[in-house]
Amino acid sequence: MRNSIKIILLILLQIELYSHTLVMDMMDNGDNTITVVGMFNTGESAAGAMIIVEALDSGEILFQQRLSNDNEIIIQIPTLPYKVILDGGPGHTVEKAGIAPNNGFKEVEKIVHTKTETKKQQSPSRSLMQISSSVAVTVSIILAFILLFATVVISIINTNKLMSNLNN
Amino acid sequence: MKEPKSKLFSQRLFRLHVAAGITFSIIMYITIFFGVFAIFLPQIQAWEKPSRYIEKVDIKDIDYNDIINSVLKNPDFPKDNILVNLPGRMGDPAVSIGNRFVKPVVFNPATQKEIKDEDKSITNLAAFLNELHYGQPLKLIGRLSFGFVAVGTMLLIITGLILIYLFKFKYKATNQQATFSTVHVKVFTWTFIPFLLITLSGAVMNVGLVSAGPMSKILTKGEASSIDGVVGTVLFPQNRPVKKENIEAKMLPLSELLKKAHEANPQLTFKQIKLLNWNDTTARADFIGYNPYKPFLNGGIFNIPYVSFNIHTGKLIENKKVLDSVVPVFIAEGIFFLHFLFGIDIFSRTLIALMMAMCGIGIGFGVMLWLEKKAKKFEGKITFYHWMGKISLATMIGVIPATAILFLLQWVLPFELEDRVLWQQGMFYNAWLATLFWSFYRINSYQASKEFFISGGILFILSVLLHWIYYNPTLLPSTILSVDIVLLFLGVLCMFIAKKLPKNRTDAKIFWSSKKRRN
Repeated sequence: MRNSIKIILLILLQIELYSHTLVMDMMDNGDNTITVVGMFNTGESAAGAMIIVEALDSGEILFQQRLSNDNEIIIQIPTLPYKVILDGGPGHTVEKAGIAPNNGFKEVEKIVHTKTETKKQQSPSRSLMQISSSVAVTVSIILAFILLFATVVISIINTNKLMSNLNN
Repeated sequence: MKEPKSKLFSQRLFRLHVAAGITFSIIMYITIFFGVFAIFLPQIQAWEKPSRYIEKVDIKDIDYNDIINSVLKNPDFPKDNILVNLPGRMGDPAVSIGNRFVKPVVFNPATQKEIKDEDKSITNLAAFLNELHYGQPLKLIGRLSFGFVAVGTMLLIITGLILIYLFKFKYKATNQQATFSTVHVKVFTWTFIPFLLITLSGAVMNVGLVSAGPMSKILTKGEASSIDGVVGTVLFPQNRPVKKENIEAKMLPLSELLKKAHEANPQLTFKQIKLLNWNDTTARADFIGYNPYKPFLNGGIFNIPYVSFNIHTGKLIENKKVLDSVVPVFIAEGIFFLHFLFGIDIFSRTLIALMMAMCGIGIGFGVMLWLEKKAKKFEGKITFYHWMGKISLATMIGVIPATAILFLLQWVLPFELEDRVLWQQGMFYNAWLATLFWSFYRINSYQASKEFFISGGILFILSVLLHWIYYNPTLLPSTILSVDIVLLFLGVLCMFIAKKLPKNRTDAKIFWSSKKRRN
């Protein structure tokens, strides 16, 4: 019984839609540069996809360039901790933590601390919650609930009417 | 007395068919209803975008080089794998220059000027109708449920065929119930082959491919999480990079190369050009096409015939023909072709749409047959007020005015309105829900169905009239005008049906049986 539940859970958790997935590989060239390779998991070219190098502490974009026809790009390793993003549009973004340079990264503790504080201030509160950021969605959902409620009410009224007719 | 085994089998099979039928009917009907619209997706896509109300131009008379050079002036635009969609691809009369990772830039081929393209945040009517066809608004749950319904429908087709064989129908209806049964059986006797094939391919796409994830993971020991990671390298064309020489070179006119490509493979109808290393001596253009003489085998996702040239020298590099692929590619292409109808002309599309509409009507009559049997039990005692009848009414007939509202709002809502698509879709869903309310409100379902048909008819006609108020019909291209005429016809048809349909149960009995007597 336990095994069958596990199998069902495994299937439900592992289901992914049939779609091309971007894959990104990074190789350390040993000379403080990395080679970033991006392509689709089907072997199709990802030429034109944007490679972005972003600083982890500040979110500053340190480098960005589109992949060329050979699907790879050589990047100078930044001195700050960073991540490499292969941006193929919404739902097609791959991120990987950057490889450190030969002498390691510079210290950035102070900046990280500041960022955490900023994040705390922006945490969501119940009073600020809303159904959707769009008025159209909010209005549609409210209207849908009213209609559903009205349907339930009218079906009860009509059923009672028919039942009283039957009793009479 | 003991029943013979064969009779018991028939009875059990019949009950299974009825139970499965009533379970899957509503979703299957929705799939078919929106599927009919999805068949005309290219035409609706052009109709919904005023920027596409442009003249048709011969694809060989367009200066593509000039257009491409103007796009490449934007430093952010990718310089490799540039895709040039030729006029006529997916019914789009414009030329679009893009890449898989950027929004395409669209041009009027006659004037060569850039068009302000209405993207999917402004208008998304055709794509939305297509999404409703396969359950996409409910994401994974929707796709899986629609997929399982397709599997269930295959069971229904098979059990239905066995039942037709076992019961030996006489197709002579004398009363309402027999008419419903006859129509239901006749429709599927005629259309079961295309219906089965289309349903099968739908089931493969919605259930087979989606649920292949776990199997892919097991097969690749966790490396691939979806099926395309396993079979993609076999099915999809593999692009070998062409190394740049970094020597700037003059590019030959693509329109001239297009003529050469036509000479190299006259069977191809060209749809797209893929460009590599533009302005380099190694520049390459793949003229991608569809071979209409080999349907089912090409032109879709996997098997794409093309003719390649060096754009600098004009030398033929490769001429990939339809049959230059491996068997798995043909199988995959065939399955997808059954559903997507790649490159199929408008007449064949109309024929398939009519067949599918017939299947929808067949399902409707099947549900009416089930409801009629239920209603008979209460005959003369109480008015039949059944939840399934009301839900079926709202889903199957109520969907008509709701869809008509979608078309009407296309021209009522200004294109500049914020969240225009969300308003349009939200109003559609609420209009559909309103029909559910109305179905329960009206105790007499016959009256409600007449009202749905008449309101749907009026709304379809209004959508066309409003379109003609904004855009002079005499100046509209024939492809756009034909969509208007079809919508107008649909509106009139709905109103005609509304007029003809019976008003109540007593009238209905006469209506359905007298019709048969006339035959």
